[in-house]
Amino acid sequence: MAKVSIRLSGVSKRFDHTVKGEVYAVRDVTLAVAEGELLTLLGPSGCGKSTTLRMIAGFEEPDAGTISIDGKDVTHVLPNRRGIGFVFQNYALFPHLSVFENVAYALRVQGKDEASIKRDVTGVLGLVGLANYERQQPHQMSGGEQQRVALARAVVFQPKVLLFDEPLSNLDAKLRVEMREQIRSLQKRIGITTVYVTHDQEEAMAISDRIAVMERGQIVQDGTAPDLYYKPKTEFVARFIGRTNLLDGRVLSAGEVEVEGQRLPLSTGRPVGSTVRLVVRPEMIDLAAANPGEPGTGRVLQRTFLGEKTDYDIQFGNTRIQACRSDAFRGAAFDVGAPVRLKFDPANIHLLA
Amino acid sequence: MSVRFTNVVKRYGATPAVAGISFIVESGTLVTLLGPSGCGKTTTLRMIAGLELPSEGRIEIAGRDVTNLSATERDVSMVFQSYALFPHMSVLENVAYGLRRSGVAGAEATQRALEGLAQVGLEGYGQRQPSELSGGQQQRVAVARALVLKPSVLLFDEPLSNLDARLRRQMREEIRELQQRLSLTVVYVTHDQQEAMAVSDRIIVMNAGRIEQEGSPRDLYERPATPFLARFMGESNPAKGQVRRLDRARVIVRLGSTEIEVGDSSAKEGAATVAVRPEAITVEAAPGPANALPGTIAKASYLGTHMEYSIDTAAGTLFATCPRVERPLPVGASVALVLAPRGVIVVGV
Amino acid sequence: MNGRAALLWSLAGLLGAMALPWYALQEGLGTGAWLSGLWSSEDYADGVAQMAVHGRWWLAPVFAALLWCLVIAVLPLKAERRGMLLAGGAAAGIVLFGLQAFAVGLRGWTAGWLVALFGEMEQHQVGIGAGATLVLTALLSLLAIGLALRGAFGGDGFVAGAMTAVTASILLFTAWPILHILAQAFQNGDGAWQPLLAVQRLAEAKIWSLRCLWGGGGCGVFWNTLVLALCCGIGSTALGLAFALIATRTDFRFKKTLRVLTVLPIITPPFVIGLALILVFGRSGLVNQFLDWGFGVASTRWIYGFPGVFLAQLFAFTPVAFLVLIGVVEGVSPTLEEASQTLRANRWDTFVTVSLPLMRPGLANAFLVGFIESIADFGNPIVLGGDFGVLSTEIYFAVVGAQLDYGRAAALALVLLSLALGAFFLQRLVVGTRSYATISGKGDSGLPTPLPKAARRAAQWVALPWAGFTMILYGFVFVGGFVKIWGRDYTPTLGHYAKAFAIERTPEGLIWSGAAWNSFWTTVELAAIAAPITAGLGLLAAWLMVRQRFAGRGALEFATMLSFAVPGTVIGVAYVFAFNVPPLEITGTAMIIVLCFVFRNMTVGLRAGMAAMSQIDRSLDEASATLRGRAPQTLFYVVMPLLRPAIVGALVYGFVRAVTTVSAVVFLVTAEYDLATTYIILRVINGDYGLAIAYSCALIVLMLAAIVLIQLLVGSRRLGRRAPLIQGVRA
Repeated sequence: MAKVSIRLSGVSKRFDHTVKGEVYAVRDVTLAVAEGELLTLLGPSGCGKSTTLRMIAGFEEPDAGTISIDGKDVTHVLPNRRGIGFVFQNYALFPHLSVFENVAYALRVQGKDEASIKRDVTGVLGLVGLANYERQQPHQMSGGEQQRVALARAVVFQPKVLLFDEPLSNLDAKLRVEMREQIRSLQKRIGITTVYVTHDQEEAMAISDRIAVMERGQIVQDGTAPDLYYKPKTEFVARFIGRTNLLDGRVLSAGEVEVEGQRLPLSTGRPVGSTVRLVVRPEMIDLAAANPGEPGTGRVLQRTFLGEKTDYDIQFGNTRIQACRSDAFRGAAFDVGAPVRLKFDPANIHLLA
Repeated sequence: MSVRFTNVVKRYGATPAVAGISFIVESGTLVTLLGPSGCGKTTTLRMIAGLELPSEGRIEIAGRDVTNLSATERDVSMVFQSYALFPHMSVLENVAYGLRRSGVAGAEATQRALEGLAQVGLEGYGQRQPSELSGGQQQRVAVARALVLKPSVLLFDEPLSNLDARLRRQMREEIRELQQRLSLTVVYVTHDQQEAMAVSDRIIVMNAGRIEQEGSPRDLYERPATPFLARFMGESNPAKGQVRRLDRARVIVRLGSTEIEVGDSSAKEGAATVAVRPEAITVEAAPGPANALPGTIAKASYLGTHMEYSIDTAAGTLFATCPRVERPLPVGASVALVLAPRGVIVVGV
Repeated sequence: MNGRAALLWSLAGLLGAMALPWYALQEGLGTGAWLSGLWSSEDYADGVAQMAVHGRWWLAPVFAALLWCLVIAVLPLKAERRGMLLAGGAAAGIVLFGLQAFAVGLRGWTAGWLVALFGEMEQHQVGIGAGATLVLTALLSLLAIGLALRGAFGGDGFVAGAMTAVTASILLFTAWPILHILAQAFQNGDGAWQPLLAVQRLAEAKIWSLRCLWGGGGCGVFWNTLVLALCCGIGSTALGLAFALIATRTDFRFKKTLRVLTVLPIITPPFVIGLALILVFGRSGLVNQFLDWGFGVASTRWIYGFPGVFLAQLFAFTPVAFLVLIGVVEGVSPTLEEASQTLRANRWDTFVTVSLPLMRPGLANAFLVGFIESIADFGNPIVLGGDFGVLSTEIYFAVVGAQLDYGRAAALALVLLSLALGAFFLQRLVVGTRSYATISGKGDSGLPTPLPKAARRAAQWVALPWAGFTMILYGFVFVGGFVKIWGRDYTPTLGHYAKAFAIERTPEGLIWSGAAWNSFWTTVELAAIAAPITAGLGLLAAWLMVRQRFAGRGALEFATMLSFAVPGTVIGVAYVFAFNVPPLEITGTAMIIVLCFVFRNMTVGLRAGMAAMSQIDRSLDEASATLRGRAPQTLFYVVMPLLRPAIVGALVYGFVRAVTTVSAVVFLVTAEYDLATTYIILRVINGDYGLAIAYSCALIVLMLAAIVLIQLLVGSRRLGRRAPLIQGVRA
């Protein structure tokens, strides 16, 4: 098993004052991040992901539990002694220092000599693609460039752990995609243990080795992106990661479930007659032209063209189903109001616990 | 009820933020001003609102020349990026504000404000303070406040940028649904191309103070006029290709060793920039069918709904999406790319 | 790291106990005469010698504590344990130090019950000197280190030290003197406790009478003070708002002049305005002369009393309100005003329903500032008050006049303090810490809205005549220094300047023979010493307050705000009493004046520092921490450079306030250490207006020079931010 680089055990933190009935910002979080792994803390605003990250950094102290980095207990150690690099949401570049001086800051504080400072700074600026920007002032640069300087600054002194606090929220949509690629390839190249916080599940899935989904201060599920996508443990995770359809089905027999009039070969291990909750992802639903009145058909309520795919909102029995097709160039599109047959593949249906 | 801009210019000092634009927004439609930061879309929106006055040109709203009218005098309402709810007033007072300033009597204003709140699903929230509400709720109050005045035009200035990714989708659907239900004329500003495509009837793409192209989402996606647009609207996979004309409607596009027949194209013969939409590429195991483009997988990413591959080919590195995620192809695998003709776009036509 | 620091401070303490004179020396350390007498001479002996040779056994416990700390610093212990023992030992040492310092005075035991307990004692002790100070400092540092080792203050020794230093200074130089003086209210002339005496003093008719309401004489000083303060608060806030609106929300062409005009009264000694008013409206003033000459109307003395003081205070304190309100007006989010306009509100509606309400907390703040400045004001009431007495002047007369009734002065101080605190708490209650000022984040990029016409007219009609009047007044002040005798003989002359600032050339060199030079140089010297200390201490305290989280932060904040609320007269009297006797005997020295300057004005540096620091995003501190920066490095390399404008402001303000202080120092000056302001006031009281005016003008020039110098030396940093433009809007 890979060596564990960061370990949180039973970490809890209370709010300063009760927020909407919640007393705990973070409750009983236990987490292990392996060496060289990129773990993302994912969740909606207020779920505690930022607070957890800040406790790993040392900006906040837990009320209970321990935090250790590389085997050493750092629960009460000051941030400047933990050996971490931090990339902030608003970049936090020192406005009165040039790019070079910003990146060199940690090295100067450690008292390194001029020659090695110059060598290390130029090296890392080259890594993030800002080779000739040394003399620029932060306010002269674009958001994406500033973020890259922040990244360079955080890694130049070779910290043991790298932390990201929603680093891309302030960037344009397109830039976000570019920057997340850069961050991931840099992280892989250096092989540094990383904890990343975001509320954007697409971002999380694109770059993480593992994702921990948080809700109201607790980790509700922890696993790889396919784990979370295909085997969500709770309705919250199913809804939060990607889009989902939640259907109620009735168990007919050991190997059959009835969903909106359709009989599906699906073994559930549940008693006959009980209700089960099924998770079906929009792109897993096969759509075909149909005649109205046929069993297993629905009616298209809304169609949204999104470029690389088209979303369909379909009235299916008593439920509204979301389906999605990414072969807009190949198949014909369905018009609003048209009848359409939905085919569910049992292999792609997940049973909620 | 439409908006018409004729040769509008806006200068700050010597630099033009908007360099001469003309467009029409038809009544009852949602038109989005789309573009990267600094392209002039927000300035344009503020000129519709009357918060800035143009240096040159004419602006008409609902047939009336409003070029020199201030915001107070126009029949336009705006939902700001930061919501701009008055912190010293309750939610109800916020929503009733515009009515009271327009001279509507006290009791009637309160009544209409309550109805406005109900319309956005915030019944019972009237007595709360804005600071007590979540981001999504604050935005709905801002919308209610703007709607309750029954404006000719409703403006949205990047309304979703302060929200969680999750909430963004939900709120954009609500906004679209509201607009369609009430047949509102809406002008919407965003930098997110997906958002624009999801909500708009028409999109106006701006770049450096000018209009690059305007049209329906499908028009812009399938027939981008410039490389900038091809890149901006979705992934574009720019590749260098050769065009040979077959007859009046059809041309042959040559990418690497592959030739694709593309119908309904008015491309000129010769070298051309070709954009290949990722979803038009089917990735098959080598050697694949006859007219497939051979390549090697350079990078593979899992995104839940699909796989993303970076594939090195003779025509350049292409980026493809593949819905089949159960058996992802490993890096280094040899593949053959089948290109759907509709997804091969000669740019600039 | 902390272990080594503990060792160093313990050794430093021992040095203080063994190598420096324990008690204060009349002539100071400079002469070096004490070096030879460290053991044998009773005056010069170090602490250990005092204890061993000269029979001062009460010093022993303190040295024992010091030795304890030394031992703990050296033993191999776990950090937490070391911290606990160190902190305990140091704390004990400090307590013992305090006990012996207060228990043994000039005549042996200081209190009756101590004599009863221990019997009479022949030994005595005088005020503490270099040695004792070093020992106390060492003990305080050891306490801080101990606490840090135990984990307080995030385990950061620097923060712990800063906290301890700030707390100790405030306790010693603010809390202690004030408590001491308040206690005087309960004592009779001999120092015996008589609580009922306080009641008697407090219930005087002179304070509380309401005779003026039904004719026949003046009201009690309390009511005078209260009414004056209310009027001043309201008036200065209204004027300040008018100026602030013009300066930020209109296209007024002479904005820079306006700013200079509004700031001018701040660098002027407070009574100069009063002086100018006398020149214009006084008995021999211009207006009276003109009326007499033109219309045969007899001169009146209407200016003396409430009207004059009120007018003078308006001039003096509007600038302060202006400075507060500029920040408030600029803090109103432009986006909210734009939103209002898109909601069909015209500019007037927007101003009244959105802008003004958002400024309410700030307006309440400005009112409070005006109120407290008014009740603390001494210079103007003394010059223009006439029969209209206020609490601060009453305190002065109780101490300086024939009465010499310290108990009464203390009782009056108690009333004054209660009034200030009452206002303070009332404002806190009504407004709290609510602020509607926005710190711009995403999407707040609108432009500030110009004022509605009506508001602009109103502001202009109020502010501009006032500005004009101010210019005229200052003009007269300037001119007044050049006329022989104001009111009678208007021949131009340089005589006053000559008398004040004559320089003679003699064979020995230059002699500063002018009457004013003595006080002038003393003022410059002491203010120049005080300013950096004021700024440094204030900013350090601000940094602690804003950036650090620790238990007791709220209490510290309250204590510093308290210093602001205490009127200068009270501080002055308190200092005289508290530091006239051991343990700290510094009355009559330069040090007490410097200390008074520092702690009187520290709150200004503190407030400016807090405002400036909250503008610097916390994430910059955090970034520095993750980049291995310790607290002092973050402070010096990240925070301070960004604070340069605030540092300049704090230095300027510290210097200016030191030079222009009257109320506090009026009790502390001596023949040897005379200050410009007190000198001038005496001249005024004696009717020597010419010299007083000439000197005042010289002071104003001095202050302008100082501001320019500080700006050049410390300078400001451009961070590349654009200033918002007010766009010309058609229609």
